[in-house]
Amino acid sequence: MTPTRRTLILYFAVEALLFGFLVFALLDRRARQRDQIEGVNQWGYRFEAHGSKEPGERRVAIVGGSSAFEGGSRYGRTLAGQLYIELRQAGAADKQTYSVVNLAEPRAGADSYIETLRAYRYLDPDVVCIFDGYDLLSGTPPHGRRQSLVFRSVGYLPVLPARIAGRPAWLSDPDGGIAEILRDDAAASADVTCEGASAVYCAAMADTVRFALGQRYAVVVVSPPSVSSRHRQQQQSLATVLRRAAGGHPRFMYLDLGGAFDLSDPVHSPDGLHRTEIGNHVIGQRIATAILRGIGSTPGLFNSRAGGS
Amino acid sequence: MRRPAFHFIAIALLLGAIAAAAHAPASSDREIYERIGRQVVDLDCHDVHCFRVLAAVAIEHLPGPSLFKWKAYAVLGGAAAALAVGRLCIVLGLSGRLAILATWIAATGFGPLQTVFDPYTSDPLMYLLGPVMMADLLENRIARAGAIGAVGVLAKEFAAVPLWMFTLMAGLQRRGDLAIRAALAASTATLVWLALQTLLLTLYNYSYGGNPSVNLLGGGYFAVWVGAIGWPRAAALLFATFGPLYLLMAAGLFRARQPLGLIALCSLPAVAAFAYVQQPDRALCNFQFVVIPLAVLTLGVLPDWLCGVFVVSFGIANLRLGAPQPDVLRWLRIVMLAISVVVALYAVAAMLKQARDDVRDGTPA
Repeated sequence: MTPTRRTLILYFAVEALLFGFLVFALLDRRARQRDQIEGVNQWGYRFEAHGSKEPGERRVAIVGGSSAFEGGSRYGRTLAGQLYIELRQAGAADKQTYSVVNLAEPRAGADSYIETLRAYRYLDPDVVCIFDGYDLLSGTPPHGRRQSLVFRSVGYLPVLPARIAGRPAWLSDPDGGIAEILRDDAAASADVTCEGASAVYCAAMADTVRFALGQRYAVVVVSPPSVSSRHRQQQQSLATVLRRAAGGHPRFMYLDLGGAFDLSDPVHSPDGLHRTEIGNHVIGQRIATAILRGIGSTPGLFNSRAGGS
Repeated sequence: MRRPAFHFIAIALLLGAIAAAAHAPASSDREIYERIGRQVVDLDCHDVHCFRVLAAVAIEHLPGPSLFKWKAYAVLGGAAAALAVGRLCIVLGLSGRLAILATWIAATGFGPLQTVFDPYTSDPLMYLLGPVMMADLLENRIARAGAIGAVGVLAKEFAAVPLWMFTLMAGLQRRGDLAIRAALAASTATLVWLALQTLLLTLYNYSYGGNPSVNLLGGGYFAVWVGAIGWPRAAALLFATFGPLYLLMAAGLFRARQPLGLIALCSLPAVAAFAYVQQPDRALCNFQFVVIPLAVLTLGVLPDWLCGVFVVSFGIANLRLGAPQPDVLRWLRIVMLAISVVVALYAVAAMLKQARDDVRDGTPA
């Protein structure tokens, strides 16, 4: 059967549209490649995109908010970069390879972490490191990856539409500083612990831990350097809640780095909140040590997962 | 062409014997084809071969040892491709005798014998699809050829080429409706190819791994290839691709009736493009379905026994049993190449003489 002229025109029009879409996707990829240093990869997380693990590779996924995302920093200066350097160094002698994927989102609250872990299940992490910061206790960021229809549909985070439309890019939400209730001068609530104003936050963190353990990931929850006495109180009560939630699970670790260094020291923090490269080095070293020690004391921490490497 | 099954079995046995005798190449794309064959999508794959999934996936999912399966694919693909060239000759209006000759030349060409030696490639499928699709297009089966091309590009981009060639042919023949339908088929196959590339590049973090093929403004693969081996060797390798067939083809062009000459003309843009972006000698092999029908027009003026001498010497000249080749074969190949060139020259002379005689006698060539 010979198609009519009208049918042919319709076919060509559809093909032209599809060609346009594919070319747009390729241009989007190119735009992203030009912004490798501080950018977000096509799968919506920071730095280099990772695929399936190499045989024997161990992978750590960092989940958190602005403090773990560290927008504007080069990879080597960030916590993720420093953690990777430490793990790589530790594994070099035994030819053990590690990778670190930074799944953090700026201004992401603890109640978004489960969704993050769900979205990136295909990365098959062995260890989930939850590094929660100071700026937001709950809620999803306005330019978070889940706001993108394309990301929700296929896991791909486009950059070009926002650029063309002049909108802020995905994951470009600015660091929110210190949440009101964590400030020592806060007047809102006297009780900042998990029994008080942080109840929802602590419940979200506990849910995340339970979910991650349910996925048979090893979980390391890191309490970041304390930014205030109220922050310390909150994190101490969180530790109790999480230990209870984990129920003594051998693959759970709580790492209190609240006193790892003084954030007012410019060597570790330029502004009393963010970390310098040295600050991240200290934190990365402590987390790496905890993970490696965990491997030693918990045989099978990495490799007892069904379907793991 | 009579007794195609007989020729298929004979060619398969011959290629099978060569495959069994050949040593595995020291360097090949085996590892990558096995990997993509098993995994289908191999995240972070940085090689141009990662995009050529179809043959690898089909073969690696069959039972049996990998090397055996790939060699069987090269052998059966080569035999089927040879038969397809023979069928194309019939569609082009050539005699059954010339079709058989074309079949055997196609079976013993540089490309098929190279793939029998190093089977981890999509090339055998391309050698098959080229003549199959062109024959379909000439018989006005545009949709079928388009469907084959759309699936074939999942194995290698060359599968879209016959469709574009035919589109150009139909355009030059001022057959507007046919050209538009062929263009639709060609653009559909190209769209499928582009969709596969885009999907793998964007979602699965594929890249071409710094392959010079994608450096279109910097000379493509051609510049790197010539730079690495030098012009004299490059010229020698390009000649070795078809060897004496170049002479026969050139003479055949004078004798060819339409659409054979037009097919050759319309293949030139694709030849230039593929020789530029791919390893040129390997890229040219895909066009054997254009070269061989023209070559047999010239060779066919010789008696059967001399045609037989040509096929045997041509086949041995293209034989690869190892890298490096066994010493005996190295010399034998040179001798056989010389014999095949001499026979080709004799055929050209005979054809020209016959053409002169025809002109003198007033009979059409």
